[in-house]
Amino acid sequence: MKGKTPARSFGDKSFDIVNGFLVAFAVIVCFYPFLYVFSISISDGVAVNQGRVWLFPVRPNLSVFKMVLGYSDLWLSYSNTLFYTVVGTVANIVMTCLAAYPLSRQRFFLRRKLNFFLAFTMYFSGGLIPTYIVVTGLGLYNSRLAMILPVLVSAYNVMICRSAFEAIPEELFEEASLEGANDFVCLTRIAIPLSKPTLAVLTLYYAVARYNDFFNALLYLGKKELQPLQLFLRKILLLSSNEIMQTAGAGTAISAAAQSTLQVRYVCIVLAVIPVILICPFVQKYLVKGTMLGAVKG
Amino acid sequence: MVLSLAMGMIFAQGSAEKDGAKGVASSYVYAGKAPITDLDGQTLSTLAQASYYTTVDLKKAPIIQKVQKDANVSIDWTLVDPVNYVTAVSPMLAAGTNLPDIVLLPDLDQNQTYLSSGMFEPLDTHFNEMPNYKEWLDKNPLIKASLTASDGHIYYVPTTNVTHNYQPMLMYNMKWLKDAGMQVPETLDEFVELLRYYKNHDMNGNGKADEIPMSIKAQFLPYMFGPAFGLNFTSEIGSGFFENDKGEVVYAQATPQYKAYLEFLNGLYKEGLLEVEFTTLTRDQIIERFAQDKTGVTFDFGWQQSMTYSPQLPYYDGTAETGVVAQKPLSGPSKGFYVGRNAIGTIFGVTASSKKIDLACKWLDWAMSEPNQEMYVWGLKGESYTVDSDGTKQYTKKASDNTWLQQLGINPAQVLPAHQSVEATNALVAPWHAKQDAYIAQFVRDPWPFIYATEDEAALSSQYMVDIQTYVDEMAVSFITGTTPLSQYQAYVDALQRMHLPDMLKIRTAQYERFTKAMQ
Amino acid sequence: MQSKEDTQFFSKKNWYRGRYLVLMMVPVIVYYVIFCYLPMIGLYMSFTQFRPGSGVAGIFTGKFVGLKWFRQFFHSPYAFRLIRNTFLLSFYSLIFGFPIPIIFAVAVCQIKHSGAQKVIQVLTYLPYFISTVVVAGMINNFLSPSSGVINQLIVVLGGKPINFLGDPKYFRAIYVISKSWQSFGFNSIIFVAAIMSIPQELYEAMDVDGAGKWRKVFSLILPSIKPTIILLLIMALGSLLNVGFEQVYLLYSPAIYETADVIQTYVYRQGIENHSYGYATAVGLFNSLITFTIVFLSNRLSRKLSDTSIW
Repeated sequence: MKGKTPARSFGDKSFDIVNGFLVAFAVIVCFYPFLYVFSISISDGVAVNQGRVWLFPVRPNLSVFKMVLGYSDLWLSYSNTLFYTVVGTVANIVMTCLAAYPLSRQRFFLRRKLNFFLAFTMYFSGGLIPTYIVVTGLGLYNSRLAMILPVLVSAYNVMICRSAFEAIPEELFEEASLEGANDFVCLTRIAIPLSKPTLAVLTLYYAVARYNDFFNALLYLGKKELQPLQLFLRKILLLSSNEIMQTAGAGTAISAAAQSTLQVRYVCIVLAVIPVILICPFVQKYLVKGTMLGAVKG
Repeated sequence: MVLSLAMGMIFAQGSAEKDGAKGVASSYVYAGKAPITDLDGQTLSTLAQASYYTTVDLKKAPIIQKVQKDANVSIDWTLVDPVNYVTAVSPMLAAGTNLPDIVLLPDLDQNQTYLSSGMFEPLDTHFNEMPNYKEWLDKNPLIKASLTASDGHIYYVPTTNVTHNYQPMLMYNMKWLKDAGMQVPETLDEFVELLRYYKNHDMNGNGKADEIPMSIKAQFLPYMFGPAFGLNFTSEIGSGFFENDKGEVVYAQATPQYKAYLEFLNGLYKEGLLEVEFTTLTRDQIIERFAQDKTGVTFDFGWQQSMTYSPQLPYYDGTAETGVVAQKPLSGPSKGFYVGRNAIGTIFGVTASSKKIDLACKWLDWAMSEPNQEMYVWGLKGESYTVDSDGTKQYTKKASDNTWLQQLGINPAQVLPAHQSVEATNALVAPWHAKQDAYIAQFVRDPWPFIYATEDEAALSSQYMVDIQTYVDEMAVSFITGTTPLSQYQAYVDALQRMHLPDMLKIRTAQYERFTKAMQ
Repeated sequence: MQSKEDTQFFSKKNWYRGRYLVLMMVPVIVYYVIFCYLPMIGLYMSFTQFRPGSGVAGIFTGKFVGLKWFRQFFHSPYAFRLIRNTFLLSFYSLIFGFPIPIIFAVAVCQIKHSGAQKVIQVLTYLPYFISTVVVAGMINNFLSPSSGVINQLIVVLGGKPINFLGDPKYFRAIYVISKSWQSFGFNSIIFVAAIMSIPQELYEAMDVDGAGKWRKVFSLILPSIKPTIILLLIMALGSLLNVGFEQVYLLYSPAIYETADVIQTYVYRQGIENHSYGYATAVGLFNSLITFTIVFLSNRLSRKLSDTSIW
């Protein structure tokens, strides 16, 4: 819009400056440490030990990368992670929509009670041992389902999804029901398409959660063939982290196995982040302007 | 005589019958030598650790397979990563369902939580089937006493650590020492002189005053300076109890000698010889300092000398003169020593719910017997070692490929009750290192032994010990940095008394008495 | 508005009317019953001396000890300090950490070039994927008095090196800053989505009114995402006594126990001494009760003051 008065454009200019500064600061502060990690991972080992790498790689070589990528377990675990992330996220989203829709309907007679039923679980938990007993009691030890079933729904994300469904104008649903649509149709033809941005965010949240999950794998997946990437990387990370492997005389086996310490750790970080960087653009496609009719309910 | 023979036959008969599948009786008696059963197709399930090396699969290791073949038993292994072992296996044991026949425990069951809940079979009731183990225990009274639970039974078969070799020790940059024109320090005073020299001279020749005389992690301070004051303690939770010259059990961190120790360290701190960063220093930083030739003294596990620190030095050429080398401990008001380790490394137990208890006992007995121990250390004759005409064993050239050696299954303490050996470790390090380590071993003293706690003792100990340890650790830093003046030392001791230290002393004394009695 | 009749549990009419909705909820309810409520029976362990190795029965057959574990925790001379530290660490991370993703989301949405905007967003997600173990190592590196970047800067500016990780008074700041740094980019995603769904017409309406960018932010953007903010705020209150164990454990040392020792690290040290599952469960139960009370009250408050609430 042209024709602004000078006073407004000064305000806008100052806004732009502040805004630009904030964003630039945020980017530098986030990117620099990662650049540091990346540089160390491809630098020469001696230079790393001498502490000479602080911004750009010194005498880059891919030897540590080749070493870690050479572990056949790495590729197996990448494929396991792919499975758990995809299947897990799909299951997560389906269950979340199924839960959020009824909870968003004002006239649903069990709404208050079920909201509480879900929310309560966000604060109280039986703890590690009882959950372990239940999961193993169901026969899920060494089963792929152990990575999917115990974390099938996140009440936190259900609340967010519910909020998105609640923001859809009631008239749309009333019209649909007048035309004979039942609740399932309303959910799939109206609610979900109109909540794409929120669902995109939740897909990302769930996918990241499935991708990062190593603790469930640690507890329930004894077989190496089933283990995900994070467990494998964490093992290498801790192995090469001399600080944690301090047990007496463990110096014997472990130090030798650790080989290059700092570098191996950082290579693991880079390997863990690469898939994320590749997937992100696809999800961001859905964060587009104004796909929702009407503002978020205020 | 006849009666005992008859009894012997009945028992032998009984145990022989329990072998094998239902309905198939066997008359074979295991007497300590392979095989352990004459029935074919026997299996046992075992939960243990995988190798630390990601490229090594212990299930396929030749040594491991040979032990099974000789025994005529095959083991169904479930191997969990050693890094995650405690976190992954503790819930398994807590839940207690579907446990395999043999389990490598995630810890030493210090408070007898597992064995007092009846999860594991008392092995001493099966000593008839475990002749090798029984004999070995009798030859090692210290270990036997440690493994005897408060109900008098022995529940576990251990792997053992070397106790006097490759322990935490003082290490010097030998080139710096030579350049300073000084001898290896023997007393605290000589040591301080050396540190002062390092601080005031340009040892690395770069024209900058960037020398840090001593780089030590806070956890090693008790190991390093405690003995010079007559104190035998480490930085682990619950350590600090030891038997003084008068035969009493005392708590190191409440004695007058401890005050002298703190005063000494406070002096170092004030003079800048003990750096400000000592509370947070990491091994990575120490490695960096050696790589930049910035520091002259450190204290760490003996292994690190030639395997970690020496290679960092820019001028290291593989000899002791240019490396980071361990030397004798420092003496002060008392003669110095190094604190060693307990022999017990990890423990294997036989689950009480197993259907093959006898077979499992025999397996463990066979696995820890002498001929197998030799194989764990040296490997396979002709492949990894050779025997000279006068009987000395030598590793082959092939054995210097560590990855191949690991894949062979050398020192399989993750899966079998192996006894860590000094020779095997010596073979992996530089020759000067092995020699130096043998020299240092004479200075190493035993730490407080491993002793089981009864339920009452465990209850009280769990209530008081963490608080006492928290207070002691915090106050140590406070005294050393001078935040709390040492004139307040008595107030500190009084506070410890109020925190039930006398009760803890009573408990430890009772435990020690139980231990000495079990040794006889 | 719903009448009382509409929420009657035992009304056949309501069950019929809501039959599809109930059907939708069934799988979710089954999940929660099996994986959340069933294990909650284990909370009984807070009152017994749990014996390992006896499976499910073990939860009930342990010797009943009443409030012993709770008493043991509160008898420790450090109980108050632990609670205080835990509370302050999470409270400060809430106060400072909660607004940052919002501010950043607003800032990022102002970037007109959509390609640049996407790249910027991805760059800010990166810290979230660097594991805590590595972040702690980096912090140690950066803050080292002898070789860290921060202290080198201080020396250049004429000051003396500060031992950040050895001085209790810096820990809370270090913790809050590192936690915010790791998560602000990732946490801003939901706010970006909310801002993006504000229809273009509303912006244009403000333009016609002659509103500048500052006014747009405060009169349009922030009020529009208010429901999202409130919902997330209430849920964030639920982690008020939950301090990330690893983030503290990897950075603390006896030198800074005064501000850094929290409930979780203390219980961890207890666990090394002895496996007292009953003790750990009791402390966890205590934590849950406190946070639930806080959330309950704030939910009530929010329901009265606005239309948003968790239940």
